[in-house]
Amino acid sequence: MLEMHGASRLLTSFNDVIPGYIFSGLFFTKKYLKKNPEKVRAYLRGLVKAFHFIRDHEEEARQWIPKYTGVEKTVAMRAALRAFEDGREPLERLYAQQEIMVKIGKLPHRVAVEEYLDYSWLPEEQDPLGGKE
Amino acid sequence: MKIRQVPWLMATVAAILVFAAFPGWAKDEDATIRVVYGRSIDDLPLYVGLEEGFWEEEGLTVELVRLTGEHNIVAAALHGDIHAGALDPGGFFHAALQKIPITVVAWLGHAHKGTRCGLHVDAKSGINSLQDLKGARVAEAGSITTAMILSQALKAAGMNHEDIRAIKGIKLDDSMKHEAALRSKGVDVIVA
Repeated sequence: MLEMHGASRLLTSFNDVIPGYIFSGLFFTKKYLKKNPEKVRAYLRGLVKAFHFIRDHEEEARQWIPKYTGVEKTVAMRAALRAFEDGREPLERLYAQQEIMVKIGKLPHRVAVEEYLDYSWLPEEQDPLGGKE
Repeated sequence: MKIRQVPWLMATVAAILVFAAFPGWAKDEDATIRVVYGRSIDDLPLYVGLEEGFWEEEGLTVELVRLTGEHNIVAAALHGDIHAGALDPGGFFHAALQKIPITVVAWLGHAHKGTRCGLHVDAKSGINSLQDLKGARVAEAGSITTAMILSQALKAAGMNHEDIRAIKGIKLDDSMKHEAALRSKGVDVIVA
């Protein structure tokens, strides 16, 4: 967006320095998961459908950006998007990011993330849009 | 090293206390899932899910709640004011370290060859390569992500943090501030 406004030039990207950098994760509290398992599964089915819709119908998907962000349409139609797949990322990649944090002093030590990460809530690995492709 | 853990926990506890003091949002547990968003392009899956009716098909009502700051988001979830939120991996690892009772159930995208997030320099700057970062004024927003990207970029150029001039205290939590920081000529580089 900065570049599109003529304000900046990209020197190096996140992907250049940390390939496949994982941006953020969706969380629920453990209490909410326990109390509302079907709602969470339904929410994630809808979310993964949205991931696939963006992948398969990118231009159509981008139309919604101005309504929610206030970004002008010309920017919304060209801005780089994250790569959205099925919500899963390899553990090795997460640990690689964690390793960097430890090395630069932003995390005191390695943390076993498996206890706080659970892909079993996600739908099976298939295109939930089915025939829409 | 323990000192670094304390601010994350304290900030989250402080945020929980604030949310506990203002139980303002209605808690309609059965009908709606309240999900945090940042009014950003990166939240596109949320907009698509709503507009294309993917949650409606599932019998769900999803309400987007604008909230920023990972401590606030975690606190709001623990207090029951929101049901789902997003954390960057740094926030996630710190939450796990502190045994905060949350579970990440999906990741919301990763970088790829077309990613334009990164180290941005003024469009007319003479900084054309990573080696040119030596002595450059780099805005440091204080986030773990920023620190990671910067450290890896410097490492790739055979440098470290001591080779740049870190400009601290610049809030870079939206794109207008990014532009303003660069256009002010007060900094040469931002991570955005």
